[in-house]
Amino acid sequence: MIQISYISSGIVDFQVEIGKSRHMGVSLTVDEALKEYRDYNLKCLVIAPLRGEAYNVEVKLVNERFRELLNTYKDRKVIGLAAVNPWHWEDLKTRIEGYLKRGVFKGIKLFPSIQGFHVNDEIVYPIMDLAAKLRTLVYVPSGYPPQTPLEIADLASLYPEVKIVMGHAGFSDMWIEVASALRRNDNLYVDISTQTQIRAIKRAIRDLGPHKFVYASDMPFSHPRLELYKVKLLGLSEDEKEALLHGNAKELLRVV
Amino acid sequence: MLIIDSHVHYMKVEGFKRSIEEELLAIMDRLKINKAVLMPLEALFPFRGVQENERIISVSRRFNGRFIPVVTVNPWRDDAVDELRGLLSKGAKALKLHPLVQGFTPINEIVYPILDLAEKSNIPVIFHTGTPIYSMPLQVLEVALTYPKLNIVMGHMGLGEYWWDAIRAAKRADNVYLDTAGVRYLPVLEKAVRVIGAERILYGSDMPFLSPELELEKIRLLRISEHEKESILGLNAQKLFNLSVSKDHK
Repeated sequence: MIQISYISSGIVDFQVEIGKSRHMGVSLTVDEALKEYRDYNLKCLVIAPLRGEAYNVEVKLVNERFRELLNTYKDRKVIGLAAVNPWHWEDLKTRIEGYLKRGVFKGIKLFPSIQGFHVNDEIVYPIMDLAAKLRTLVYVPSGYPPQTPLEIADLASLYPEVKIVMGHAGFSDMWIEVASALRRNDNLYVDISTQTQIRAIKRAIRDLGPHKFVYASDMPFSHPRLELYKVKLLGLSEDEKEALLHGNAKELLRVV
Repeated sequence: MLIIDSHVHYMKVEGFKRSIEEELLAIMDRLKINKAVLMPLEALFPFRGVQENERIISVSRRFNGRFIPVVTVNPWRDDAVDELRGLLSKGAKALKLHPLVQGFTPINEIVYPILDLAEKSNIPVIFHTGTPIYSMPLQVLEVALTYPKLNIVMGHMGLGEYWWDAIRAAKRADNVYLDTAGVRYLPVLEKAVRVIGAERILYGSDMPFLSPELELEKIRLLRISEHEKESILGLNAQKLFNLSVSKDHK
């Protein structure tokens, strides 16, 4: 196994999914996720419900369960994103607004490919209106349609006051859209989890600066050892590494 | 441990100062990769062709079996079968097809004549998979079911979103193999092993396009047995490509 001794900075893992899902038959608890960082200086885990039922048929229940879960980790470096679904927004909006105002969740997560809409569809606008009103962070995984980087960028262009983090830097071949998406939108950021086109990430950081990039593990779908190894392979300066692993997330989340 | 990278591109990337083959070999030596299945890139495009195929064959001869030469022909060309026959006589060991770049769907009969020859010559055919609208795993499955004696490798095993189609294809056809190049999710690989076993899964890195370091580490992190990892990393490719490997894995 690769020895990860080059990571001395504090780490914010911007995306860890917690729960149990029939999707790929995976599960993860917060304690299991925290355990993977026992040899590192972990500042914070940003958790969201595990993809699958939580974002559609269970979306009305999952945030209450997550609220209770987050309560047990109040002192222990875990913050949460609420799952939101535009098809259920009428039923969700009052409660979500309450959670966000009280600081229960630090942002919201959409999952268009599971929820059945294009990320830049008008159906999302009421959610974005709330995010703009409360200046809440929005997280959307990026990759294939209906959540390509340029589709997310289109949404970002309509809501310049909302900080949007697109997960996975285009995921697979859609890395080709990431730099263009980031360039046009000051409010758009990206986590680099699972994206293995390292040269594209390197080039984007070089051309755009490191301030738009955050580290994430995407557990349980990837692993900190792999994602931190990627950070090493990027060959960044110490300042760039610090920004990627911790500084940018701290700015975005304003909590750690 | 024997490591055979089943998905390597003959391509120059930023940072390559020497010849492509020398740079690839340096990476292989550093990462202890014994052999690489070397695929053409430029030859996929209609205006290139024979030159790159022959270069790959010549490179494989020069470096004492470290590279397994793969060639490509374009099924739209009238001389595709003759071209492939010629390349096989010069030492090509497998055929690569990229339906999206080459502009055909695998279920188009236009590809049958070259598949006939591949089957007769007992060489595997590697398809790029995972990029709509062509290059889809279930389209390639149709080829596998039509040619049950032909060994077919689904490059990238469906890539980002079509991995389940690739696993289903391998479940339905014993002549389908899956290479891991560029697969993003660890649980996808673990699921593939659970569904079809490890014997038809091949480690691939997509280097130098993607990072061989990360692609190797992915296999090492999988929650599967050591024997399954060994099979994926090298033993399966050794069998599929009919490779002799000495005791010291050269």
